Amino acid sequence: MLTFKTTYMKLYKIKITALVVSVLILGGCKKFVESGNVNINPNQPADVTLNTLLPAVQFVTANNQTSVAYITSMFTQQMAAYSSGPINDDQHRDVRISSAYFGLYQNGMTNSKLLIDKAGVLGAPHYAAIGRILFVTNMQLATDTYGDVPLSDAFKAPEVLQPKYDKQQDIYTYMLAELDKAIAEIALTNPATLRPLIDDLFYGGNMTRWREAAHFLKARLYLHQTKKGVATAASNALTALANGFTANTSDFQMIFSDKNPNPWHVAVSGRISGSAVFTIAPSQRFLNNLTGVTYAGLFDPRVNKLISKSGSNPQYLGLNNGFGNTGGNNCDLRDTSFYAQKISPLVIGSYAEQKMIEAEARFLANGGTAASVGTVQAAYDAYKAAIAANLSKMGLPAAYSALPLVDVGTANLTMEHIMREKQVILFLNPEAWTDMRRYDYNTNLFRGIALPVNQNAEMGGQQIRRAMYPLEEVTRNPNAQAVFKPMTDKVWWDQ
Amino acid sequence: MRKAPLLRFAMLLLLALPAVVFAQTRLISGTVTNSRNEAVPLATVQQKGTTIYVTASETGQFTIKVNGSSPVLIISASGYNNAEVSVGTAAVYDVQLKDGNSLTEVIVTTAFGVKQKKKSLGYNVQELSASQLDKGKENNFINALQGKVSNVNITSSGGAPGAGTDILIRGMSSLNPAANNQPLIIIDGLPVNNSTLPASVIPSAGSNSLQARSNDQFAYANRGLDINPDDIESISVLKGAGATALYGLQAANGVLIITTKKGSAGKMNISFNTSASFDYLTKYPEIQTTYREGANGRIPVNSDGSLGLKFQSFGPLRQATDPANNNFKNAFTTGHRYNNSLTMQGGNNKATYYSSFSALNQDGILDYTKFNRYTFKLAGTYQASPKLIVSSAATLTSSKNIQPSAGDKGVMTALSYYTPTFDVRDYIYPDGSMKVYSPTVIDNPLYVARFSQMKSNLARIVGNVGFNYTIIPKLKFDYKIGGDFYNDERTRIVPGPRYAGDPTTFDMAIANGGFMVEERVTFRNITSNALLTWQDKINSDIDYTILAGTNIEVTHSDIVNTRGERFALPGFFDLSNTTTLYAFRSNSNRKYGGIFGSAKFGYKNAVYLEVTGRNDWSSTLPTANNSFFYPSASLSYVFTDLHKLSNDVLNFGKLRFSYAGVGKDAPVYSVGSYFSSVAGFPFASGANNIPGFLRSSSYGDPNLKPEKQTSFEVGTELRFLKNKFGIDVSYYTSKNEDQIIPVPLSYTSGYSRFVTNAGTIQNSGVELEISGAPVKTKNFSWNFMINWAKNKSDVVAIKEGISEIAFYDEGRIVNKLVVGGSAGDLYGTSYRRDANGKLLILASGFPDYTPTFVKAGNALPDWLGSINNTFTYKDFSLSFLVEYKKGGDMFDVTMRNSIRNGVLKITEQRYQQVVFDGIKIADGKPNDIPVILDHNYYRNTNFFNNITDVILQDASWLRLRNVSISYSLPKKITDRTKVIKGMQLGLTASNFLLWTPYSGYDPGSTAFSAGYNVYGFTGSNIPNFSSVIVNLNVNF
Repeated sequence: MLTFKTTYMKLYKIKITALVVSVLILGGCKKFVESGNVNINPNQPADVTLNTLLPAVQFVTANNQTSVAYITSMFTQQMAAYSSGPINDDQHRDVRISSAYFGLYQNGMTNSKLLIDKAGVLGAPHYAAIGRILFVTNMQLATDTYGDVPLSDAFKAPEVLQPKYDKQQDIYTYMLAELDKAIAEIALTNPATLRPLIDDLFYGGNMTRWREAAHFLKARLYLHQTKKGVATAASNALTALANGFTANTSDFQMIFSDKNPNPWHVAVSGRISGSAVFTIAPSQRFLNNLTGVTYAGLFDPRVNKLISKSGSNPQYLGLNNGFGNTGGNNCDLRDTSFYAQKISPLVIGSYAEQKMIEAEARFLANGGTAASVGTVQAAYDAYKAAIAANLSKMGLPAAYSALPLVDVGTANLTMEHIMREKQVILFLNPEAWTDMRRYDYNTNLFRGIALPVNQNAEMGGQQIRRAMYPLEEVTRNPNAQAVFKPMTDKVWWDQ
Repeated sequence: MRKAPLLRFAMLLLLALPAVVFAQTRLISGTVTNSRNEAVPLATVQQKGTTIYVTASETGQFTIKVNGSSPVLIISASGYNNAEVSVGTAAVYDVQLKDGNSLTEVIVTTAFGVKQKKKSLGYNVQELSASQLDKGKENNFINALQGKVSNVNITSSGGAPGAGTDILIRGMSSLNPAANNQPLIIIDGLPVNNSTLPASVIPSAGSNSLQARSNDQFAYANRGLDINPDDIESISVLKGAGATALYGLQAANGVLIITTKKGSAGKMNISFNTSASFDYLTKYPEIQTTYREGANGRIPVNSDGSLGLKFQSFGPLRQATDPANNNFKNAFTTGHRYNNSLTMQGGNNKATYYSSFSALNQDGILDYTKFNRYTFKLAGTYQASPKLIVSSAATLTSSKNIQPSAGDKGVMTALSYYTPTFDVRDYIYPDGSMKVYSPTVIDNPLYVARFSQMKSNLARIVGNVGFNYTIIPKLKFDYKIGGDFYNDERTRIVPGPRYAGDPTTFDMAIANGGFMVEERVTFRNITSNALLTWQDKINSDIDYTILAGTNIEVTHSDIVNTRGERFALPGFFDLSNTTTLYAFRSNSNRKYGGIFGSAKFGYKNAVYLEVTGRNDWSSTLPTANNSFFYPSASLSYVFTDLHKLSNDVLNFGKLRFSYAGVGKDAPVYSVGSYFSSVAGFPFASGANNIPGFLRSSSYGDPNLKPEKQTSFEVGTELRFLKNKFGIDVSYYTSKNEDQIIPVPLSYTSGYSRFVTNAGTIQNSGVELEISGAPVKTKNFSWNFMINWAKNKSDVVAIKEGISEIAFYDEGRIVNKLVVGGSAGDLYGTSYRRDANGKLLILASGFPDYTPTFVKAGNALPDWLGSINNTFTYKDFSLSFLVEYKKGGDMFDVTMRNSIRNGVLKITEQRYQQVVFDGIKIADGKPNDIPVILDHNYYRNTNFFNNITDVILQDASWLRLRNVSISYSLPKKITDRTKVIKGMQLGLTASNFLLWTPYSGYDPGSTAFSAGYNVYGFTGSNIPNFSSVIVNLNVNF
């Protein structure tokens, strides 16, 4: 019995000890795993400053423009796809440009919105203004490509996971208002400690340039609305651009570098020169327009800047849209091309484009139409100034602008001249597609424009007017399904 | 969450501990050994005619109290014949057991190394011994499990030296493409890291491998490769949650418990083992031999008459004198592996020691690839007092690995373009530059193999110290603390051009001027386990074991990566010689704490009930939810023993049931959102370098809670004809809920992934194991083991409005998980067919294809089966393992290049008029529209090289995994030497024969790193090989 009792006592003690130990352990375990902040990522910051956010937003904005233009430059038939490239888009099949949608919303707008909000909290109006201008730059790319897109409900995750879609008309109102806000903010005094400087990869902190860019973007947005009333659109655009760019040095662009190459180098020219990956190349139509084929006797020297021809064949052989590379071509965007070198600028908006906006607006404001001939001197001057600015930007002599087919004189200027030249200025810029849609792919203005070979039968022989929402968006946001429109449907300003 | 587990645990501890009345007894002790004088662990020592029994220790020692006059002890142990010992006046009896029938009572290792009788378990555990594992002389012990355990799917990253191996037990348990689905590996009680860390080796430009990032660039080692397979005594495979419940959150994918060899008391035993393996390829893609290099039926000629750039194999007809090289074969050679190991072990009744040294030297089947691994191990135990045993072990591994580049622009990709007209082996010019038939377009794969490699230099130490204290005979305390440290120095080099515009520059270096990556990986894990065990009987019918423990773990890994691009001096590969540097660092820290307990009751040695509970804390979860409890219960019901039903036909029968829950935590840093540096930043703007950050596109739910896995398992184990045959069947379901997954979000919301608890994936399956020893005579015996298993996974739900999660999008074949589908589903563009399976033919005469991606296959097998036979005749032993895999589709990612370049046999039919067998869409009539299959058809159109019917293949196989013959020198002869105790000679053919409908290399490897969770893609890694292995083992 004694043995029994001792054992029992021992057991009892052990049980108590075990209980005490386990209670300690229970509390201890929790403390143990929570101590030392081990679940905070030491390699990624939880927050950033204005001057580390801005350059990133600018970088992605430049990339976004490239993602859009990579596809839409085939719709304007400046470029065409190799068989190994985006041939489906070239044939208007299931055009969705997913990478652009991701880039615009996730990278561009989400982060410019953060920049605006952060600048607001810190009291840095100049950063806020830049944030707004960059937001509008991205939003304009989005709405002009897809039509209605989310805005008022967007950027609110995790509260709102499926944003509703806003009408393009409302988006345009919003963008213009944002640009006005930006202009007002630029006029405010900014604390010296929160000034954009070398972190501003577009203008190095020169707020005058930013103000000009805001006015320029306003002019562009107004001119997009010509179908909604020519006179208003033209006069609004003219008012805005009066405060716009004053020279090529104002161009709204980002300069890339050997270490951080231009997005066109990354997407097209570097891949051809580097690993012989062929994606897109100049379209035969575009080459014809510049090399005296469409316009007999008019050879545009810019063609040898914009593209690189290989071999000794004097003919500029491009790809035929929708046809792939079965014909054989000798022109490409290479790492010597003006917009496709590593260190090339990625031009979002230029003084030359602005001058063409002015030429068109004055042409229209003075009763001009797509079919009319002759205009006022100011329109003609703007047209000539645009060409001169663009030639100068590429380091070319002015001789081209004196060619009879260019220097047509005020009385002979037509919309075809303006559009022909503006299309060259807008090479690889999504604005080229906007212009083509505004004038309904008018073959008198855009010579040689035609449906691509092997065009998607579902298009019913119509030209493409918009991109469809990416599948990722459609499967994740039922609101996108609700506002679905086919690719032949015109966006608001195109109606 | 904090109180509930506390209460439950307290109750567990307070389970009535009964009083025991002790009768007058005698104390008998002894040691159980086998005929080789090795300790027999965990033998059952029972007094005949009574219910008095004890279980001997792992080193064979036992102490039993017997009563009555002239007691007799029955000693039984797994794999040995029973022995009876009459107890006389002595107090110590050493018992030697004779090797016996393998189907007698089996002891297996279960959670926390607790050895238990298999009959007492309510769940399935399969254990393999060293002799079952070492036949194939695999470098990687995980490969040695292939075909030997049911429901384990093993896929290696190919045959490159040092390649990793992926292992899935009972299917994939997560919807998260980044989740860990690999089992936990425990060696001697402590976890050993088996992760596969792909290095970041992608340059800023020049690679198309963006989606898989670095995962397809090399066949990175899984860290289980650092283990010397010769040190392994046994591997116990715990598959279901019932078996792994005590291990907690890390064990939801199963556990491999490895027991290593230990020293045993007695004279020093020296064992020397040497093997030489000859590795070679037996299966290659079939090439066309009708056409030469060129395009459109011609050899390219420039306008000036000179020969143009040669590319593709769509040229003119091959003349009899033209060569036709199968470069898929020519690129490879015979590889060699030399494995030498020496072990010394021994000890006395107080202390034992085990030490081993092993050296593995491998030259791969691809020249210039190598793997050299050296391991050193020292382990010892010391009985400090009758109550205290102290033990410690340390293993040091040092390895050097030279791997060929894989994936995009790697060896296999370059090889896939190579025309049969030129021999790939002619790869270098006398000046050292690359010789390739199509310079500037592709690389010569052998030149890539030699000059564009990754070197890994690894040092690892795994060690532990522990003690085992017997507080009172019934109560034992076990403690072990151990560390796992490794450092891996990885260097990847891609040489740049020798001069600007060098036409022999590597494809991958053209855009970046050559580059090198220096990556340093430091890993550290510390684990502490404490275990208290109480073992007793309530009465002669009921015994019980109560176990309580804690488990604490701290894991830290640190990766520092620096990439330099554009070499200045050609041929000098150092970061100081590069123009642009990119650097990043990636740390990962996590802490776990766990407390667990179990109570197991046995009734009449025939019915066992076990309940367990565990509470885990994890640092990766938000503090409000970082504590979580889960229970399990299992029942083993040996009806033949309980109801005394045992007869000569059915001598053993058992039913088992288990139900278990397991929680799983989140990946590190999942909560909230961070900013990340933009790729390529700091941005070089003029003279300035500007850093830039963007908010990451992923947002982690601040209310993240642990994942929940609930498993149910039922099974039976039957043995017939006096243990001649045995059958074991299990059925299980395992439901994974509240999965922590990155739910895809609309980009417009501001984030594109929301890491939250959502989604359910369920696995269910059947496992069948049949074993038999049909013949056993004095000189001859025959044993066999059949494994068969089927697992089916169901994606039950993701999140409202979200129907799929993409795992990998190759462009042509997409691996995604879709609600209603299964893990491993593969989608692509297929030919359209009518209800009878006939092709639908377009007006052009070509077969139409689906406008969108449709489900075209599944990468994971429908079922896996294997038969392992062993015959012994006198001193000879012959065994062979045959494996069958039903289903499992594979896409060879390089095969499409070979089609598009006209290399493969399937492109041989050219320039002939053919009429596709099908139905015309236009009028529904049989097709009669002739078409010409030309260069364009194979290369450029979407009618062939994109179609799943062509490129996604059934990779079912029947494989002679290995066949092995061995001869042991008769004892008569060895005895005469007085030095040699035993000697064994063996010859093994591994992966010897393969029958499969799959065309191409052996489809048994994956294109990605182990653990990447994407299956069904192959071809871009060095293929798996076959081996012939000669082996000699001598014991002194």
